[in-house]
Amino acid sequence: MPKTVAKTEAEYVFVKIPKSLLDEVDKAIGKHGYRSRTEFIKDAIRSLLREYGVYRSESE
Amino acid sequence: MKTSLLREERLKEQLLEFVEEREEPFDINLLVNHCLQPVSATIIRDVLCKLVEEGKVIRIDDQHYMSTKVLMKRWLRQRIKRSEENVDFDELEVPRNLIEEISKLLRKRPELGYIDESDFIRDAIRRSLYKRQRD
Repeated sequence: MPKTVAKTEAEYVFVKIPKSLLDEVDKAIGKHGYRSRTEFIKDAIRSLLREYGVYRSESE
Repeated sequence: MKTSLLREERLKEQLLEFVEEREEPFDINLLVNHCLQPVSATIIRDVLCKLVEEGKVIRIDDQHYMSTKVLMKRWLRQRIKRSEENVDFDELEVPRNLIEEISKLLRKRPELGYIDESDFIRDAIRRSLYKRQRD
């Protein structure tokens, strides 16, 4: 698993993502009201987890 | 239009039959070389992607079946790794609890065909971008 860093509220993990994909994310952030790349990606992960039935409802 | 759809369906059937009979790893060029009619690598790639999207299952032997997605990822993994050597990456922070959720899912459902957590995250990003482009 990638290296970790302790933050005040939660523990985070660094994940390697192709720059070209992050460029696309940067373009989408402004258009769709996200504040940061991390926020967009957290939303994308939760959405796919929901699709595979990990979350039964919107609440996690 | 109708003719090209028919051709695509036939190509899908032929590719599935061919792939089922293969015992060794293959790549797109091998499929191109084994086509009786001239077909471009792009068309073969598109048809393989459609087979994966449709969740087609391939017979490995009398008792074992595997989804095309898992099969393609396993057989093409070395190729993917080699191609990643030339890709620029950036690091991004993801909450550990989400990574743990992904790990649990990948252990529970290997048939989904994800290589690791990063692979899942990249797929999640691509799907999200695609969904937003469509909306």
